[in-house]
Amino acid sequence: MSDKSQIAESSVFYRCVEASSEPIMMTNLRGRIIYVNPAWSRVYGYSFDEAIGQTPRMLRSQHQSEDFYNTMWKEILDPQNGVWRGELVNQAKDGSEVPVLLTISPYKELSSESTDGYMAWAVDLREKRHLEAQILKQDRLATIGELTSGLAHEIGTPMSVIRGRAELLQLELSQDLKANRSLSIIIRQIDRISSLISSLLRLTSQKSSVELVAVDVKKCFQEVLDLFEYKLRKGKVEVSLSVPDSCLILADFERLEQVFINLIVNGIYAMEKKEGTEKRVLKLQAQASECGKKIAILIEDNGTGIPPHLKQKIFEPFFTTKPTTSGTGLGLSIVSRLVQEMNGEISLTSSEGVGAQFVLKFKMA
Amino acid sequence: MVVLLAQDLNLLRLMAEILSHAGWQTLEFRSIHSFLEGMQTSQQRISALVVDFHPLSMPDRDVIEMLNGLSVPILALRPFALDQVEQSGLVSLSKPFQANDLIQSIKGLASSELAPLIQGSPHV
Repeated sequence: MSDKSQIAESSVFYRCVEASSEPIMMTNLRGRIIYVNPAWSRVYGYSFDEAIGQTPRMLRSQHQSEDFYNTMWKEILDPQNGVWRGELVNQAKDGSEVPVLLTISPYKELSSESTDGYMAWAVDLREKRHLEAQILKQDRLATIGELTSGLAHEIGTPMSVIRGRAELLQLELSQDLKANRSLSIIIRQIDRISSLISSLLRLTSQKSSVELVAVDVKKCFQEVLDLFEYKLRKGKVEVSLSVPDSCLILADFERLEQVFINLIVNGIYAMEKKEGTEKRVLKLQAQASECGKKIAILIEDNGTGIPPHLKQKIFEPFFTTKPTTSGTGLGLSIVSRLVQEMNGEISLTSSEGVGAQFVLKFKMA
Repeated sequence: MVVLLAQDLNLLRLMAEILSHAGWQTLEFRSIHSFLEGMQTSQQRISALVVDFHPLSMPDRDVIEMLNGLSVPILALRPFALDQVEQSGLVSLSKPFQANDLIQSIKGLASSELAPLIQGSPHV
């Protein structure tokens, strides 16, 4: 067996650090970065050359105060401690946040008695946070589901009575235009509440058995476009449909149709909201992806787009950028739920003022 | 004759008025027991039975199963999407409903072949 100095002087440690899946960074005593491993570059987006000579401040986010860092350094510099370990949120080159469990400790050269610099070893917590957020979301949905189900039972009857009475009054007061207008408003508002409750029930219902069968993507798109023919024409939206014939995915036709409807409604709204004379174009495409195992379906509009800070929120229930009279904030959360039920994936690419592109991926049938 | 079975009095009266406007006669009940009693003595032919299942219940019997056993077309009122009713195979109408939908549903049911309400009952 080799002695300690032989191992230390060999390149074994260097190769281990380079191959580590966790981000590792070393600074000199002045706090300048002298080394980052490939995992660090992968997580934060900065290349080795971009990082060297910088300070770890380049990773700071708004999540921690100056006091937080002062306390952290006090602990590291305290000979009693000499190490700091805790969770914080860093910021990557692209502006995204990276929650990490960070350990910072001083290091010494073999021949040195004093500290030569500091080493920071991070555990990327993004996946863990994502899972936690998913669980929290499921819990919230389950709670909303219970409440909605109870609510639906209790308010269905009074809503029927209000709506029905308004209809009967309309018959009796058919000559009174003013009264009829008011009664129509009552009926429309009841229908609005009804639509909201139905959306909530759809969002939260626990349908375990989704039978996935071969669904023709083009046919599904065409049915939805038929539904929206008038709305698209009225909104002067040009549709570019590029889906090969017999493009079959494993899905549920009605669910897929609902997904398309919700995404297209949002796209039309975003394009109508955008000011200017730019031609409104809705692109609907499908193509094979991931070595032909999946089909990627693209729904793209050139509307107002979604600001980066809202991208994570748009799939949350009750989140909407529409006025309260136009949106319930459930459309995209229902999309997310339905895609999940069909074992699919959904992602969003968007630039504010340029448009939004939703990509759905399903198994090829 | 259309039989209406619902615990909520306002709902019963509303349905009776809507159907009356459409030319139907109605008979209303607010509980399963009064409905069963009333049917034992009724001599009238029943075109359809409209049932609001919530919150109708019987301690020792499955209401849906029991009503399903009757040879009469049933229209089940359901609060939005109630799986229990959806899975029962009954024709259903979700609340809140449009007056015209109620009338059309009854028309659709009533056009089916009429049969005695309670099989084997000497009173029907």
